[in-house]
Amino acid sequence: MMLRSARTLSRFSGLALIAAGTMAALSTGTFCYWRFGWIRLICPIGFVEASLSSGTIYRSLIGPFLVVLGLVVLLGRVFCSWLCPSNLVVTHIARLVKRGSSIGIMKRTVLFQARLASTLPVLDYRDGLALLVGSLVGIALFGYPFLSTFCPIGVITRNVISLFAHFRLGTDLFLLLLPVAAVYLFSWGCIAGCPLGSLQRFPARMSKVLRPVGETQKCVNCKACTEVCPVQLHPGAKYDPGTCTKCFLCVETCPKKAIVIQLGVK
Amino acid sequence: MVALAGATTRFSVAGDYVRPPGTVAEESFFRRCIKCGICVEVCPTRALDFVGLTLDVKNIGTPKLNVRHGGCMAWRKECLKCADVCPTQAIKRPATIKDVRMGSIHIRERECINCLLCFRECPIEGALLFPNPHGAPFRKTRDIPSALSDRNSPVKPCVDNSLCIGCGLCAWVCPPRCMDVLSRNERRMRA
Repeated sequence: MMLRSARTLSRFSGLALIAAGTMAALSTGTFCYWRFGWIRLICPIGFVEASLSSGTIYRSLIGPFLVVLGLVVLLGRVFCSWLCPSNLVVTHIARLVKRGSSIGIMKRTVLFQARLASTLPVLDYRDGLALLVGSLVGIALFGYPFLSTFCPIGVITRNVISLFAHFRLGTDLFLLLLPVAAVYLFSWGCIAGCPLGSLQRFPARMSKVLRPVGETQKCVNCKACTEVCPVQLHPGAKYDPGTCTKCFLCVETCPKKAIVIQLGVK
Repeated sequence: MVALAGATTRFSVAGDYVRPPGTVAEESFFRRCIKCGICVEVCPTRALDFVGLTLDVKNIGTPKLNVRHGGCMAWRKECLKCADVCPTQAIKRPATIKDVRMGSIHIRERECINCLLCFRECPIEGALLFPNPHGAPFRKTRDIPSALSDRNSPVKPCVDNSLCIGCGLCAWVCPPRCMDVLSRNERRMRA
């Protein structure tokens, strides 16, 4: 329970920082480009996109880009479950849907979603990678960084800024329906649909710290961990560390307390 | 996804926006801007706003001037914060602010009430003029005879578009909101 509240707090704090930065007109930056004094962090997708579409490599951004990659190598995909605002919004919508699923129309929606999910092919990270490569080729060919327009993280960021600068929300909030549909109707979401996640996968494989590890002698194979895991991993067995977003939901839910967080390299 | 990138680029309607000062040409602006929104975040007068959901897909989420929220302080206070923070140099800090133009001003004269608030806000001397029937146009509020600047007077302020930089400060304070900021392209079309 403590982990859960820490996670929610951390997710909200990112948004709160943007809100505070906007209110005080400080240039603290956004999820796409953080700027605390001399510390700069750039969204890796944004950097690659802008470089491809404009045909120039921004020398001032190479440093921030490498720092971000270094952070992913060190900590893995912690951004996905501890900061990503899109994940936050989607989780809360999911909770609402679950709570409302006793009401007639909601029940039908949930059933429809389940049926749709069972008929559609299950996409895995290779499809995500294909989508990412396709997008980047398209961006290089046509010279328009379109991922930055549709990226739900960007849409949420811009609307938070708009809300605290002008006290209103933008119409581009409707673009959020795309990822919500991708997660709910097709249950692809974070696994295959997110280009940022696909890009983080390879550097995140090298991350050695903060891994959830199952103790095999305690495990009773109830699969409760796999069920709650946003990316359907089973920490008891060997898994791809590039997929794990280190949300530690498995640690919380395991009935036998068989999963521990491995802090460093063993 | 390649097709999606192409479709969003090709079928995008070409819109026209008043961009922040120092913005690169519109053809390369949408290639560079990653819609991170940091320019809108730092703008001290809140003059910058996002382009909303339009058919001009290429420009959704890019910054534009919205005189409902404020005007640009670049000429009055040498602000240019947006140019300093832009990560991809879609907005570049110009060598001198004097050569930069954001757009131009158009006054709907019928709606003007001759309050002359715009004269007080204009950072460029001589960009806003008041016609003088007996000689050179007035440049300062104190020179304008009250008989001419009566509310119902047919004589209204006018803009010297060779000097006006389109910061939008006048349009922001205008009580009847009868001033429009035209973008650089619109200005070219009208000229």
